[in-house]
Amino acid sequence: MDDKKIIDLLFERSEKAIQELSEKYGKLCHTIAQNILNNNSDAEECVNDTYLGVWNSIPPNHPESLVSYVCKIARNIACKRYNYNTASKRNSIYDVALEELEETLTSMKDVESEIESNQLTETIEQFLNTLDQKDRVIFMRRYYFSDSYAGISELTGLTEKNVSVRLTRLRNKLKGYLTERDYIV
Amino acid sequence: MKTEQFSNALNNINDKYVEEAATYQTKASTDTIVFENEKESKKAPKGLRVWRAIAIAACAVLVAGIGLVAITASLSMGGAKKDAAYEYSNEYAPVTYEDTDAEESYFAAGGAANYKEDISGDIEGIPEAIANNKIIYSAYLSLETKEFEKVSSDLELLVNSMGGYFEWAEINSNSSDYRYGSYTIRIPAKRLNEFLEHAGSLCTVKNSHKSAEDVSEYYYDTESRLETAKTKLKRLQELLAQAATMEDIIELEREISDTELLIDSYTGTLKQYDSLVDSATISIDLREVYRDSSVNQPLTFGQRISNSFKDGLEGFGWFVENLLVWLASSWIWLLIIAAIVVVVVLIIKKNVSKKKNKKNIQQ
Repeated sequence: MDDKKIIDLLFERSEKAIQELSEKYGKLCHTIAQNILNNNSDAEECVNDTYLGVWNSIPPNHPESLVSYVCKIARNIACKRYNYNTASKRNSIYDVALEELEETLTSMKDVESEIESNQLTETIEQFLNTLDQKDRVIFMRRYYFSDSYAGISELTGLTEKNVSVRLTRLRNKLKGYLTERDYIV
Repeated sequence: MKTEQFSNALNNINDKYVEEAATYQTKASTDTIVFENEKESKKAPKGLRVWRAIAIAACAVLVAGIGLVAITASLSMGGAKKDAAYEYSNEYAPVTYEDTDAEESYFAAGGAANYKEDISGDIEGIPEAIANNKIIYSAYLSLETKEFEKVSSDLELLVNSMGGYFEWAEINSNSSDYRYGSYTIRIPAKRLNEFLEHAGSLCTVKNSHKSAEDVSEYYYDTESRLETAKTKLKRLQELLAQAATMEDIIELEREISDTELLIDSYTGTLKQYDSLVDSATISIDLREVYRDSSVNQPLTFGQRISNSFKDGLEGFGWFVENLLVWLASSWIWLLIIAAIVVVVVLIIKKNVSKKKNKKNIQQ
């Protein structure tokens, strides 16, 4: 089904939208979550949370590109889950208590880091603009979708070795690009 | 920088990149399907394959035959007529810039037509289609001259008269005292063709190419970001006027200063692009030569043979000359190496004779 129709269904609050979403992008979401979490049941949970996120946010949101919207939600949820799973500090009651307190404090640091993060995003976008399509896709598949070399090689038709070499060059290029713009790498 | 920070930045990345990477799979798999179909359709029946092989062989024989006839014909004409094959060789043919209108043709040189076809496929439609596009033009010329000083001063006059300037100029000389100059010149983009035409008439053009980079998308993106940032700044200033608490004021001022920084950065980027778009960048390599390699008329076969013979002789002369120069410059090293060789040979001889003596005594 067309993305536009799925969005229309979501606006109509029809549950068929979730079914269509699951058919069309379920596998993609699962791959993203699985690549980040490396755990099938966690990934399943993430996929379901993604559907819930889409259901709750459309409407009011009306994304221009549904696929990237869904990918972003899936990746965000998977990253949060990953941080939750790997945070060793949760072992300490003191840290948990601090974390609780942290939520109630609106710190300036958050605004600052958000602006910094936005600037970094823009720089990365500018960097991506300098690449050709294949390199851009390889970069995004590796560092956004966390695909394996084998997966990228299958997708692009390049050998694994070639993918690895290209990624090394891309990383070096990015490093130069960021250093030029005064990001401490 | 922390990886977490990078990962967060990636989370907010523009949708188009995510979409491109997510949908790439479909494109690739479609391609594969097409490719597989092609492969299947390529498997022709055996009989057809044999006929195909015969046809290819016949074509090869035909081409070889025509080639042989052409060579014989050019030989028998005794060089009176032009060599057809040579006429199209660009290596020694002087490049001439036709007097064409900038509106009708972007590039007057030979390779330009191909370029135009590459980017649009419709030469007539270009000026209208790209009227608002931001295009950065650049060109490269490799020039040769016997009168280095005259050409370099003419070049300077030409650049000044066109309202351009030298971004970089360097003159060096090689071991045989022939000079070569490297220049990077900025010329108003509108006058690029005119400049190339004149520069081509100053001396011999050995090599030339031009390129155009379309930065419209990024330019207009930045422009709209700038507009957004300006609107944001205006709104923040309004909010600041209404702010009551000190905390709000501090936060808003911080935001305002960040937005101003962003506006400065976007304005800078746009200015830089404007400068690149307004002025074309031309790189020129100018070499001083003892013999001009330009030839006004294509050569006959006989002339080519005699030229090659002369070139071979001259080349050998150059080699011997350079060898002698090198020997003269490195005589100390040669002397040291010779001394070392003599010492080593003497030591070996001494050892060998010692061994022989020992053997004789034992016997």
